[in-house]
Amino acid sequence: MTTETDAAATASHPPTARTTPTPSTTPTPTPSTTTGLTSALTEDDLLIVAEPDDAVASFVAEYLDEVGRRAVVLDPFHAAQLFTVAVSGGSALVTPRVPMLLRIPPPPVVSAGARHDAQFQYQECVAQLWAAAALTDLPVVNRPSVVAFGTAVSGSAARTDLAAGQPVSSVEVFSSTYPDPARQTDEAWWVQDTVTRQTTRWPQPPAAGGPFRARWSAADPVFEVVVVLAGAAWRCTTAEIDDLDLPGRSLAVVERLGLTLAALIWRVGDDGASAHLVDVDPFPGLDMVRMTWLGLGPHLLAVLFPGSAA
Amino acid sequence: MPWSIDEGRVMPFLTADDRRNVMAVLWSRLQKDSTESPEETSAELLTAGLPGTFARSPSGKFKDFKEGKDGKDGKDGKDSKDSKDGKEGKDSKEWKDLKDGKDLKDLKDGKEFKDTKDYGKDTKDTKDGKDRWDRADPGVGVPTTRFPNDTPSGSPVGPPGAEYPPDRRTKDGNPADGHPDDAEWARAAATGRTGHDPEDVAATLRASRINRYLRLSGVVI
Repeated sequence: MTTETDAAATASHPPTARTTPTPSTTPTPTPSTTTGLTSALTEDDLLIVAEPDDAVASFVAEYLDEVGRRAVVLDPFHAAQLFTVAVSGGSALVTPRVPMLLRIPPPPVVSAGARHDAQFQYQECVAQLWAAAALTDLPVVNRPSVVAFGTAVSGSAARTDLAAGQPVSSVEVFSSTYPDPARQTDEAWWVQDTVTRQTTRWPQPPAAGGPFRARWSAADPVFEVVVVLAGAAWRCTTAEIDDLDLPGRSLAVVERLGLTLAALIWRVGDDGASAHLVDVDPFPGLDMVRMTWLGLGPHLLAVLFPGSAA
Repeated sequence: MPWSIDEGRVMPFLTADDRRNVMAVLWSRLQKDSTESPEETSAELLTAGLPGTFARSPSGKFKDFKEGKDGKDGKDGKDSKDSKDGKEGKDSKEWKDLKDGKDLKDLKDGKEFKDTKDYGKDTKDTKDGKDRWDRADPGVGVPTTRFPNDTPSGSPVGPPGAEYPPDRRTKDGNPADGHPDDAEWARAAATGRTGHDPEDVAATLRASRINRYLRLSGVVI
C-alpha cells in the first residue's frame, strides 16, 4: 500500500508549523518556507506532533535548538500530510525518516450534531499519522500500537488500572445523572463532570449537568507524580516514601500500557504506607515536565537520537 | 493496488482556519447543544485545563475549546484576563508566569549560575543550615536515577541552569516568598517535621508544588 500526499495542495494551505532555527545563521522560517523545511527533515531532526499552542512542544523544541538540533512542531493534520508510507514485500518504508514525539490528545466525544466533514478529516489524518508513527524504524515517543493510537490508556481509571495490572482502588461509576454513593468504602464520594472535568465532593453537585464519573477517595487526598520516559523514572517530590517504590511500579505500569512517556499520579495514603494509581497521563503538562527536566531532558535526547553522543 | 488521498477533494470541506481549529469546530457544535450557563467559564474551570491535566481532560485543550478559548471569542479572552489579573490569588500569577514562559526564560539564561557570587551565597546558605529546607523542598523534582546535582557545569546537554529547578533558586533563603504552602513547609522544617517521619508524609506531599498544582485542577479520582 502506498499513501501519497498532494504537495501542491499542501503548499496552498501553509502548515501551522513552528520551527526552531537551525544552528547556523539561517533565519527563522516564515510560514511560506515551512513546507520546504519540513520536507527536508532528517533523522537528525525531531518532528513534534502537537496542537499549535502546546507549551511542552515549544519547550522541547527550544531545548533541541539549544543543543544544536532542529525541531518542527506540526499539528496532526499537517504532520499526516508530511509522510509517505509505502509497504512492499512485507516491509514498510516511511519517508521522511525523522524521529517523532507525539502529543496528540484523543479526539473529543462527537455528538450527532458535530460536523461530519471535520470528523472525517480528523480521522483520516490520524489514520495516516498512526501508520507512519507505527511503522517508522526511527524512535517515536509514545509510538501507537497496532491496537490503538492512544495505547492502552483509557478514560476510565478502573479500566486503565486493569490494563496496567494494578488493583482497582475504588468502584467507578459512569452516569448520565448525578450518581449517589452506594456502599461506602472510603472517606468521600467524588463526582466529576466528564465535560468540564470539574470534580466536587458529594453531595455538592458539579455546576454542569453531566454526564458524570464518580469514585471513592480520601476527603483531602495527597498525590505523588512520577514521570516516566523509556526505562527511567523521576518523582516530583522528595517526600520520604521510597519504600513504596513508586518509580519502579510506574515503570512496570508504563511498560504494560505500551507507553514511552507518561506521568503517573499515585494517591498516597496519609500514613505513607500505601499508594494507588489514579491517573496515567501520556501527555504530561509543562509543570510536570519542568519538575523532572534535570533527568528527563538529557534522557529524551538519548532516546530520540540513540546514535549520537549526547 | 496503490491508492491516494486526493486532497483537492478533502480540503474544501474545511477552511484553512477551521482545519487548524478543527477541535474548536467540533466543540462549537457541542457547546450549542449544552445547557451550560456562561457562569461556568469560571476561573476554576480555566485552571482545570492547565498543562498536566490531559489524561483527566483529554484535555485541557478540549475543555478550552469548549469554553471558546480558541482565540475567536473575545468574551473568553476576558475571562482569561480576569484569571491573570489575580482574581485567583497568587497561584493565578504562577500560571501566568508559566504561560509567559518567564520561568522558562529563567531556566535558560543561567545567569545565577554564571555568577560566582551566587555560588558563594549558595554555600553560605548551606552553612546556615538553610539547605535542609532547600533539599527537602517538596517542589523540586529529584530524579530517582540519582543524577549528580552537584556538578557545577551540570549536564553537558541540558540548558544552563537546568541542573537546579527554578523554584529552588527562587526560594533560597526566602521561605516566605508569598506561597502559603511554602510558609507551611517552613514551619514544618523548623520543627523538624520534614517528611522523614511517616506521619508527616501526607503533610509533606500536601505542601508540595505538584500537589498544589493538582488541587488547582480538582481532585484526581
